[in-house]
Amino acid sequence: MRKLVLFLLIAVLALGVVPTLAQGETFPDFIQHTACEVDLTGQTIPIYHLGDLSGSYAFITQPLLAGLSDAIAYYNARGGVCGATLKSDVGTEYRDTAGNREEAQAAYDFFSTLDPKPDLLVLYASADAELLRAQVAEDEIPALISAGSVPGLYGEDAATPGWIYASNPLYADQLGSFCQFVAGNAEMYPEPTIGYISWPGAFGEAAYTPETISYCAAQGVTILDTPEYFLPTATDITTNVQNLVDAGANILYTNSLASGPALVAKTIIDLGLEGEVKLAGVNWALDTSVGLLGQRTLGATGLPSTNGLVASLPFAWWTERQNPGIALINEQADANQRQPQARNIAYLLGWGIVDTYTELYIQTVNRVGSLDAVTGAEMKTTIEGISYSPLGLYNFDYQGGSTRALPDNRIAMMAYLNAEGTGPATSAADAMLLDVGDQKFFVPIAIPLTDFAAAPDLRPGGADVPQ
Amino acid sequence: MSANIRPAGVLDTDYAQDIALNRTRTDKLISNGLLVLLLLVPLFSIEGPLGLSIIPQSWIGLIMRIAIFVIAVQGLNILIGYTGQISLGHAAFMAVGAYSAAFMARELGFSFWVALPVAALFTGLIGLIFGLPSLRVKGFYLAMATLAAQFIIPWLLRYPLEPYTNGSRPLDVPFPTLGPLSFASENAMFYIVVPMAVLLMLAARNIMRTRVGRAFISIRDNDLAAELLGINVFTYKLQAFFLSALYAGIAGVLLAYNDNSLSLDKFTLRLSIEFLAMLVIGGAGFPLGPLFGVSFVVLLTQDIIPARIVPVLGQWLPGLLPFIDPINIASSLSPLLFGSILVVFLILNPRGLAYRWEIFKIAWKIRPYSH
Repeated sequence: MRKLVLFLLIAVLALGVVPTLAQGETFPDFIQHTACEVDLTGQTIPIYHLGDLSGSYAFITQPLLAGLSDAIAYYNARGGVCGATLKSDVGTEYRDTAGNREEAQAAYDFFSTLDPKPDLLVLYASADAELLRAQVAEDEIPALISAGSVPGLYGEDAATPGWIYASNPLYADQLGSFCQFVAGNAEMYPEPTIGYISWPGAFGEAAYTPETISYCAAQGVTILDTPEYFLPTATDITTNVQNLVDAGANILYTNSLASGPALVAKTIIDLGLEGEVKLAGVNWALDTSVGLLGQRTLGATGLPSTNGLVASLPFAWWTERQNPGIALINEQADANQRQPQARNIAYLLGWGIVDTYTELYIQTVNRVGSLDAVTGAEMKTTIEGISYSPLGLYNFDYQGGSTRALPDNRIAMMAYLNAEGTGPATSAADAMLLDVGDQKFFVPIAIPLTDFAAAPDLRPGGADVPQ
Repeated sequence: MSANIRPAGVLDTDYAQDIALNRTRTDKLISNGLLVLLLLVPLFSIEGPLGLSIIPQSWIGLIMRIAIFVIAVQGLNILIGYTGQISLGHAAFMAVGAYSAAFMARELGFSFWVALPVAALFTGLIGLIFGLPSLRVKGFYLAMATLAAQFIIPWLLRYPLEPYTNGSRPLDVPFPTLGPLSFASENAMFYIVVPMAVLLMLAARNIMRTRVGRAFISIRDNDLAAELLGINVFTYKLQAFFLSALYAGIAGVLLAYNDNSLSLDKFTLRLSIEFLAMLVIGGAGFPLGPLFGVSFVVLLTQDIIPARIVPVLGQWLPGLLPFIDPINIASSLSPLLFGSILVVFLILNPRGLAYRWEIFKIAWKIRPYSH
């Protein structure tokens, strides 16, 4: 009897496990990697990355780890990269720099002096990109970053493409895109005057350049010449906002993330400027973190203060489930029980990075013959020659090496899901409230307002800079 | 402290022996030997001329960062440890040195060897200006007054001086050269940075044995008594601020040339506070305090915690704390670990590592009577 029970138990387990394994063996059809010409079974491909995981960027970056971890597990379960296992462990493959430049330097020194040297590196912050730009070039380690500043990607002269490649448009170009949108929507933005309010530093100040100011002016959009900056730790920016409004701003544009846009949105409501002043920002302003932090202050409709925020959305978003990549990521986030806070831009980018790594390594190994023969220089050649869309999130194409930031962009608006889950809520009464533990959340969504189009090239001397 | 204690039978017979930095032949052998070993380190790295991989290449960068910070913290030691003043603007003084050297190199074409002393002297003068309030205020009030430097200087560099500093954007700094020699590589820069740190450590130690140094110490111990003894307290306080800023300026110049790039993000209030922490941990008022403090903090935050402790904890901590997302536990441990170690350390060793080192040396010298 005991043997029978044991047999049945094993049979039941086998029935449960075998289909799971069978399902896990192949990638879905929409993921079309280049065919492997070299078997890499038994080898390991580390995904090295460094950045601020515990400082002011933590809201954004912590979910990156979740995205990378889930994606790595998913890809490894399906054979990894031609049999090689992807790997990214704390300490050995990635490090927290807490936003400190010296720690970023130390982390980079650690990775760049490994034997063998990394073939590819992932960075998070514009400031890190600026710090390491010359060093990665000297060490011949190409680096991927989500978005960057002109000096980080093109150097001090803005004309020397380096070894760092961004998957979003330059911050300056994103502001240009927004000005283009404003100019084309006069009913939404009558007599537009932008007040620039952001964090100080490489990231926060990256979009406020003479080129964006002149480009926007040519579009009929004024950018005030008195930008306001506040620290990521600030809790009261009433004076900053009031200064800009007094100077005539009716749009506040922020190149900050997480608590930054949320604080600007809160201040607009606190000052009773809702309806008079509109909020806009960089792609990070549309992040889930902003949508959730914005719920601390509610507007006149009872919806969070960040409702109606307009920003760049240069990749596919969580709600676009018709995109098979997004559908897969949603499914995997559900399977891994990821909380709403984790379902943000960085989680998506984590998946994009893993898929990009996979394709880059397949193409490079096919060309050079073995994993050992892959170098940073070979990887750079692949990056500059590739045209690929990782999971359909964005188009990875650096146009033969002529550019260092992907240009495609679109403008979208933050809204909150209605109770039926069919569209944006118009007030708190018809909004969906999600129960997570003992908390209730409005569900932030991004509604695209434009189609994808190339953002203006606003590097110094760029094609779209007015003469 | 240990200067007055030597092994039984070792007596000074002349003044030269009395003021010697190394009292015994063994001391001399050890210190000179250590210096030679230190200078040989790059030769045993993979990028050294021999191509050996005995010393990991990452250690070279680590040693240079320690050396640069030792110079900065030694400046703070002169001000806080020896003179009893305080400064919360030390990182800003580093920025002055770094940016003024970069300006001289880029705009005026000065070589590194000219830019270094000129930038250091200029930073000393700026330090002197921010030291002026020390005549009227001390303690927390002086801390607040010097904190102004940490706000004013970066603001000046970011906005009014933007045409020369690039504002918040990075500024490229050329490599140092000496005739046909280029110090472009990390290993080559090592031979500028490390000897400079050693020299400045010795200089700081010697300053403390001069009339000026003794005046600093008397001001620290009791400024009223010092004044009654005829010491011009204000002048000496300003000299301490000048020297302290001069050291910070040199550290800033070396940092700029070492990184070949400058950015205001490097010179934050956080760095000023970290310098204070390094000094307290190392032992304020001890010549070796900065070396111990900087080494402890830099090794802990840039090597031991991220590369050795966190990976191990990352293996078993998620199992121990299953209610927290395992992905995020290990990655954010560094600040928590550093804070905890700091608190425990300060409770157990409030006078700093250098004090502990002095006790150890004394115990060794008077063995077997050290119990």
